Amino acid sequence: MSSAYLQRVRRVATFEFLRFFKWKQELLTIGLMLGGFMLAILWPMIVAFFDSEQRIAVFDEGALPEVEKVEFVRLPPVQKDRIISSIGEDYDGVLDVEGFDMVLHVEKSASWQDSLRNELSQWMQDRKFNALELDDEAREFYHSDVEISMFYTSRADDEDAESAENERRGRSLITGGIVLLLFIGVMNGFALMMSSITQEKQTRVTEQLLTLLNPQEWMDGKILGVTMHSAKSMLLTGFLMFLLVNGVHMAFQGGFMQLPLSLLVFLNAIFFLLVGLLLVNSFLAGFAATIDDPNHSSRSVVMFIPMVPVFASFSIVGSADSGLATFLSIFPLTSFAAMPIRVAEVGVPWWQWVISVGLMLVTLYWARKLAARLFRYGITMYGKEPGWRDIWRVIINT
Amino acid sequence: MHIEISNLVKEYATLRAVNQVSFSVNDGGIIALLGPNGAGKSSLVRMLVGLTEPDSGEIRVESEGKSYPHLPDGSFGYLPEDRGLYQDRTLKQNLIYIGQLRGLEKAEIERQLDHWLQRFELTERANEHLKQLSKGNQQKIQLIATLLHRPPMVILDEPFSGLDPVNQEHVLTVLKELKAEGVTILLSAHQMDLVERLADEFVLMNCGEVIAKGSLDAIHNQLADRQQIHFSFSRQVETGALQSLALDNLQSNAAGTHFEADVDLNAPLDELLKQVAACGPLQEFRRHRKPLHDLYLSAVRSSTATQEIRS
Repeated sequence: MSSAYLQRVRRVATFEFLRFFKWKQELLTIGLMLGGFMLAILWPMIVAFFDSEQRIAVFDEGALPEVEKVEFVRLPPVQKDRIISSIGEDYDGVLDVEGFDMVLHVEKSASWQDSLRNELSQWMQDRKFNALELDDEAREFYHSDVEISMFYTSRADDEDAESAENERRGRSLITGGIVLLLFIGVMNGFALMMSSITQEKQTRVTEQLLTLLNPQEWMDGKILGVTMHSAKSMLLTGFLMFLLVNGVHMAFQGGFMQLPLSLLVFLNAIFFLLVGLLLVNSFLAGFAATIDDPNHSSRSVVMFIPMVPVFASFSIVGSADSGLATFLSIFPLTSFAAMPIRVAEVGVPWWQWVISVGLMLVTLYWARKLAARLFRYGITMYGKEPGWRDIWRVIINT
Repeated sequence: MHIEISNLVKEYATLRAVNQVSFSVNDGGIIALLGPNGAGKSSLVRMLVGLTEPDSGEIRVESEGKSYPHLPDGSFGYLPEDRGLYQDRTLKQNLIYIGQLRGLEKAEIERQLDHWLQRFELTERANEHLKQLSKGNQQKIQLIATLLHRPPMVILDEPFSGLDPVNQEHVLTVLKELKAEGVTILLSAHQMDLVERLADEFVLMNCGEVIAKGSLDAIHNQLADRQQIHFSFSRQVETGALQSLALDNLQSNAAGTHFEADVDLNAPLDELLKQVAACGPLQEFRRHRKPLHDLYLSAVRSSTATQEIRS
């Protein structure tokens, strides 16, 4: 690898990154994401704020239920028919209780009735229980919580089973986050690589630049630049999510959220995600190079193939010790998505990790060579898209 | 730098785009590739700059004592037929990027940018996005991108297309300046009047083949079947006195003082001059060369007809 090669790749990568990196847009994205997150958190409060209190007339002499945002008004039974016929005027509903049976009269279906029905069901359940006339000891026994204690043989020394369970939940949260970030990175790469290459073909930049640098240098620079942008999007989203989750945790439970994230797991995830993005972007670059006009090419659909490993990784979240997870974490086209999940959730034997990394790096080397060859092949056809047979020939020859 | 092209052939599927083309390019001159659309000029240029490889034949570029199969990197500037730059970047950003890829230092890029933007009267617009410029101005930026690294050779595929007459003259002047600096220029163009004023040598192509090459005189000798002479007398001369001379299509003005006629391409003009002078008080006698445009059209038509008969 000569210094001239490295310098050119760096120039192209920087140019590609800056081509898509716009400060105004970045700040707008951050603002919109934070706004969206805040809205999602505050939404129940906003809904509650705008909810009006319902008035329900009750014809029963027993104790009345207590439900938030609902006012129960006891009325003499003689008024029942008149009130029922005028629902919607003074009262939003009428609750008719006879023994352990209830009828709720309302004018029409509305969202507030769902929670009211749940609350009334619970209230009636308690009422039935009270009718059994049990003594205090029997009541306390019935109401005591049923708990299943977990004992992990692999963590026999750990006295605190609760902490182990919390750790398991934390690991699931981390793996979910990894999959989400990967999804963002791959989608970002798809959009940028597609527009980067096809736009250049359409604005006819290609021929001029090809006398300045060779296809491999150009493709490597593009792959690196777009990957830098995808990584930026992933890290930014990850950081915002981290801030948000901790903000919510601090607001409602106090203190920072404790995640079982060691430096090793973090670095491993970053490594696999970055190499994975390079691999995905190499694939995208190669196929984008065979497309002349994305608006009229049926081949654009193929560009969605890199989403397959991301979807596959969804299936192993929570079952990272399965045989499928082991296979996916070693197979070079899915390992970048599956291995970080396995490492975060269950730990991986070192030899599997080494094989996975080795295969992934070899595949990356091959994929970038393929991208450059497809690109070179595509541009020599001058205005005609290479056919599937041509593409296959290039793949076999690479 | 010397380029020798021998028996070059390039085929695309069933089309032979370049067929047995041979010519050479010498240091410091301007050579024009002429031919209608599809003549094979761009295919030839793409092989020359190394974008594609010939199917047979040879390109030999001699530069600084070394021999190359195409123009070596950095030794040339190329303005392709399919051209464009990044529309969503500014003039400056585009040109800096090209300069960086050429391996120029930052200070040198700035210096060249200042010079060329000023030369093409675009300094004020340096920070505008390319898409904000007219087609002509974008063309000028493209030309700057080709010349930014001061290459010893430039290859320009249709450098005048998209330019108004004023800017065509501007570019013509710049190319003459480059020639004066010793830069070798190979260009293809359709603007015959401009090319005729600019180039030292010509290669006329049609259907992938060279139909004539050399200096303007040589092209005339190869393509013109007749030559035209113009002569005038200080007083009226009877046409009858000239009828006995070997002149075809003799025509005169109303006053009978100015005449033009066709003569055989190999006719001895010295002898003819003496004969014409004997007919009256001769003021002027000159050979009128057919414009390149006319030669080009008739040569291409005749070559196309030959190709059709062959096929």
